[in-house]
Amino acid sequence: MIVFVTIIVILLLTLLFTYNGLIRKRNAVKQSYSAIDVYLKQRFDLIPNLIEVVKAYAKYEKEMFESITKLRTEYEQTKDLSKATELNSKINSVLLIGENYPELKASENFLNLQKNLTKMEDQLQAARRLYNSDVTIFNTALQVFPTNIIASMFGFHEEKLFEIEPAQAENIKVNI
Amino acid sequence: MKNFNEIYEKVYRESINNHVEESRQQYIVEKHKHILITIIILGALTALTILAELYEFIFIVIFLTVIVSFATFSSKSKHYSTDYKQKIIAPLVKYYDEHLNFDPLRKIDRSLYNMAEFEHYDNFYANDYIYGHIDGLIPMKMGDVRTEVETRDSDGNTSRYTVFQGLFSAIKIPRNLQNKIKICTDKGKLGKVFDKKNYVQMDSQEFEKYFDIFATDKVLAMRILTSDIMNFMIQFKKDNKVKFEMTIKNDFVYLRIYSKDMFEANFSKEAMDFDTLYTYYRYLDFVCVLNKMIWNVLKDKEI
Repeated sequence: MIVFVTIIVILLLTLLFTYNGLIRKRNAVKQSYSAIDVYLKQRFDLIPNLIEVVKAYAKYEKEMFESITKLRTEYEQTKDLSKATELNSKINSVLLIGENYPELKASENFLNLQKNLTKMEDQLQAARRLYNSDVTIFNTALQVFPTNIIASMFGFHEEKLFEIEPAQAENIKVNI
Repeated sequence: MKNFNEIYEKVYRESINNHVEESRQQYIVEKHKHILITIIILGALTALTILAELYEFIFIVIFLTVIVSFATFSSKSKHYSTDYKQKIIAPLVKYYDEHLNFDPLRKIDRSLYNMAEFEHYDNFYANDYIYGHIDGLIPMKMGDVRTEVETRDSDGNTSRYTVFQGLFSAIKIPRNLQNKIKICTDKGKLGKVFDKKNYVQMDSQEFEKYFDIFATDKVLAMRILTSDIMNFMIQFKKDNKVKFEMTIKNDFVYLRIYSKDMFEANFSKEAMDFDTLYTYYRYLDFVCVLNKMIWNVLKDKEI
């Protein structure tokens, strides 16, 4: 009888500690995701200003501006990280347009925006590293024994890593 | 900055002109002579004391003779030690980076060490001060430091033990950070429990194996610790198996390495002993390169 009770107690304690550990790891993922969301929001909030400044010099980039505005709306509605990745790379492309328009490149407003966006890009990359690190720990926990059994019992699911392209160094082709 | 072989050759040439190795050998010969003379004097005085039947003074005579002998000879060892530092270590530092200076008689400020917020200590000792600008650009202060803690037992006896002995450096960075970042040697699971809130899980498993990062701004810590910097730290740790810690706070980066007493003359080894000087070079190079990497990251970033 004592043996049976001891086994039950050990099993319950294992269940309790594993479950709490998984909750903690999932919360860490959520917390680091919220940091990404803040930096993405800060970066995307500069889109109207960026478009306004670039428009004045690069009138023929209308299509690009429209697709950026559309993507931003889609991201805000869905919070889909793949949309954020796409939008982020579009912003980087807009920043590179400056290389083809000397007047734009020399504009003080554009330079300020470029500086702010570069800073945010850097913060975003750091937040992404933090997030991916937490996601890797969480996903590994879901795959190893016996955590995988408890995770499937309570419906824990693997989280996706966030891949985002860093700003391109090379120039891009623009329609002039 | 030059490679070690180049520096060694130059210091070697200078050491020949300055007769450093000769003075070491002379010191050893004198040491042997001194020991022999001390034994003769000790024997003679002991014999005289016995002959005069002053047995109660025998221990006093032995004690005084040893003390006088030690005092007269220690000044000679100090002389070689100073010679070694000025004629070997100072050129080594200078040839490594012409903008750095070495002064064995000066010491790094205690207040600067305190600003790094390492553990509590009671006594602070320092020497072998290196100062100047890395590459003529980055202001750096560095030196040998030893800190001690005093404990008192129930009988009122005081005992001291060393808490840190090694190199300590501080560089001024081109940013004033509002947050503190601490890089420590891996503290294990238990060590992290006390500061779980500020613990930063880095994205390099190998780095995590050796170090723990605590930061009030985790994103900033990630921005500063690029993969290049992390790999450089891992490599030094692996190659030298030595503990080191770092604090980045306000406009300073503080680094301390548990290297034990550095830049000291070793009488049993040749003045230009390759391995000894290479060790000094490696530590100096690590401090300068790591600080330079962090300085460059901070310089290029908008914080």
